[in-house]
Amino acid sequence: MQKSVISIGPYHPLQEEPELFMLTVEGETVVDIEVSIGYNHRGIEKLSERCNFDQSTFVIERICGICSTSHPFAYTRAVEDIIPVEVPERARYIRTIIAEGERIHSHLLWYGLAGHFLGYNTVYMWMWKLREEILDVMEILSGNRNNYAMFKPGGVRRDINSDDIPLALKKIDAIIPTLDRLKKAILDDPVLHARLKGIGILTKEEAVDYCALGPTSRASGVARDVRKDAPYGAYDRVDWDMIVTESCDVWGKAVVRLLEMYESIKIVKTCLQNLPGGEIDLNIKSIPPGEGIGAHEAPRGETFHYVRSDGTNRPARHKVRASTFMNLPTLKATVPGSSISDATIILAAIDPCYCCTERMAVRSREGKKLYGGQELIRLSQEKTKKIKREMGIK
Amino acid sequence: MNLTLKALLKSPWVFHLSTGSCNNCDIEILDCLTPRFDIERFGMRLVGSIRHADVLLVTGSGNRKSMLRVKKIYEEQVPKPCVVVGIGECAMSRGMFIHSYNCPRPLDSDIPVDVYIPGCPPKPEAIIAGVVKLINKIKGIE
Amino acid sequence: MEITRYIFAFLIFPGFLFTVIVGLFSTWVDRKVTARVQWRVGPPLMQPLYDFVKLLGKETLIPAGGSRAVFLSAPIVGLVAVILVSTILWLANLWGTAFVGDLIVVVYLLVIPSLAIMIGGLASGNPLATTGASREMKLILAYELPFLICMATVILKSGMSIKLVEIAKTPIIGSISGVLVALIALLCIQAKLGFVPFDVAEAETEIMSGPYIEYSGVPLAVFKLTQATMLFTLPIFLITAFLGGLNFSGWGILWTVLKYLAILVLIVVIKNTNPRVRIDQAVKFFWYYLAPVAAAAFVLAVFGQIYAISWL
Repeated sequence: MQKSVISIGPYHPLQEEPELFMLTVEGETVVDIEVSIGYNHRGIEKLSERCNFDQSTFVIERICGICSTSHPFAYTRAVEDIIPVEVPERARYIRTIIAEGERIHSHLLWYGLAGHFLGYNTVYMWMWKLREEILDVMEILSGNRNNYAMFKPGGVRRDINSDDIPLALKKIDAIIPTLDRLKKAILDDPVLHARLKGIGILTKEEAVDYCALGPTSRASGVARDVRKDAPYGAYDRVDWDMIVTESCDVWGKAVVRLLEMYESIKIVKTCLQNLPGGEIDLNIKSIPPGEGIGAHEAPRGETFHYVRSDGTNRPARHKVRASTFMNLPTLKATVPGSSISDATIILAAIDPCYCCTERMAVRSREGKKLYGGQELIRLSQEKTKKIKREMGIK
Repeated sequence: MNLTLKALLKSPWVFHLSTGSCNNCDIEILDCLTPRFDIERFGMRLVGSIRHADVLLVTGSGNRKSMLRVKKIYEEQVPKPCVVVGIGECAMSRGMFIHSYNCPRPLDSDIPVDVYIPGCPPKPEAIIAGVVKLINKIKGIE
Repeated sequence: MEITRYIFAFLIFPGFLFTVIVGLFSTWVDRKVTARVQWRVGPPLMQPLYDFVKLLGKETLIPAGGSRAVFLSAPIVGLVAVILVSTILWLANLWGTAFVGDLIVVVYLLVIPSLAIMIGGLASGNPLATTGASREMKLILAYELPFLICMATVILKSGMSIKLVEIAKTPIIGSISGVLVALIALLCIQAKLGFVPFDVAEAETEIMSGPYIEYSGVPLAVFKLTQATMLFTLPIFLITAFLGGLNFSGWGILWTVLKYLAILVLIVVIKNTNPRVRIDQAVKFFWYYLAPVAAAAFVLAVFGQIYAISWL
């Protein structure tokens, strides 16, 4: 059968972000998938190295608008790991509240978009209406709808006003009945079952092999969650469950996200009710030379940051590994063999976030040769030598 | 003002282009469609194909790779008349990415921009206010 | 002046002008009901008209690799077919003007808009449009089978008549087989309109509006108009075939309008409470589920006819 290439992207209504997926199709069946990124690369790691440790938090926040807490969370943990220090108890709780609020709104957002991809715009509208309520809660607590700017190395930047807590709790309680109704509507919809069950199968072995993270792995029966495995923040101080399903398909991922929202609501409520008093910031003055790592379970999976300090007030090296970077290769296992209509929802099911994942690859103009870091440095040095020769400088 | 322009103002179909943004502006654009803001009241719709678009909503800091595409889209693929709205701090001035090696030029050095909406990200209310400004600008009201 | 009368009928009432106006109104009802289901307010009444006028004023881009003549003429073919259907239906309902076999003609003409979409998509040369066109073709093959069985049942129930005037006089809905075929025909119409759950050919988030992807300006406006008129014509066809036709005497007007709005709202609600199915699922749904049910209804109707049991 004749093979043709269908490109999803770079500008496609399926994605908010510019990304290019090349689907090789035979008729309606996808046989291969190739991902081309780089449309969103902004060089944040390099930018972070020109800012001081406090300023970096703001740049890191702009890695991704939806994970705008996860990256600062992992980054501040990495910086605190260099010194090392423990943040005050109240700051731990506040960080947890903001991170979990973000998880709720991120999962709602995914549900809306998944509904939109399936042509089910009613779900999209309803979920996003609910999401507005969560954003209201976040606005009450942090002052911002997105990009909360709450984190700083050594604590949090802004305290939660105790007068705001009853209102926030009331708003969260008001969400639960609507969420229940939507949960019922989604779990009982026969057409959704027909569309989502049994497609995009990622077996447990494959999930381990590809190092899948977050809901993508937990839907394949791999119980892996940084919040449980290596507790931080206030996650070991409240009672919550890790959601794991064994169904391995897109439906499983949807169910994991749905049930995780309930756990997150539980965590936010408990933290708000038991918010301890005390300081919120350690006022760290200087960072000693050294290395640190920090991880946080973002809505999409583990986000990992590495920071090296050389004793100045700027990070000497900052490395970001976002969850989508690990989840994206699983598409090689899940997409081939499915139809084009399924491919779109399978692509969406890992909740891809390319702006977190973006990196740059240099490719030769003629062939498909990819250059690695060492090679690029060598090429750069050669060019400098050439220019020097041309200018007659030894 | 001719009839075409009048009708254009009554039913601007928007297409959304991201040139290396952090997603927040894009999400807030989508938010404008949802029940709390519902810009369909003013006839606006998000369309899937670039050929159906009247308004380009450009977000992001002008990434090297994507700006080439955006320029091509604006010059060859959008049916005219078409207006361009730059959404967010990045589209205005490249925001905090101004020193990045991959965001070499501001948006308006490649394509003409009619209205900028500031904010990081702008609230949906701000986006709607920006579009109202755009409509007034086309009508010739200052 | 027979010929002037026909030209008037085709261009003004109940043809082009009337169908377009009511069709645009139906589009507004569709968008408004959709918005209300989704907890939104929805567009103003004149919105479809604004959209149409705006599209007329936009630049028309023609893809470089496509066939220009076919690309531009495809939308017009679709629109003319729908207008013709509308004219035939209204003439039959209003003045009883009809010819033998007009039901068959209408059934044939109703396929032409889908064919026009396919031809337009293939002419544009875009791979996504080609995918959309091939899906449209599969969809036609899928829904035509149960739809034709439904029509056969209608002909049988109305005393082996293939004239719309006589079919309109017998409300078929008053029997078990009638209810079944009416429901199946409603679902087929959903597919004919290209609405969710059967909007596989258009599928905005999968293949970027499919066959429409390369259309802009006037041809797109004509396609939108075709969709709008279909949204008006197909429910009228359902009413004529199953619900006892249109009646314009006294309270009959209100009854007719109610019937039309009920069917329209039902279609829109189905559209908004279902996700899009895959093309293979759509084909399976029509062939494995609806076609046997339609055939069973047909058999029931045959028994009803033989033993003269009116409720079968």
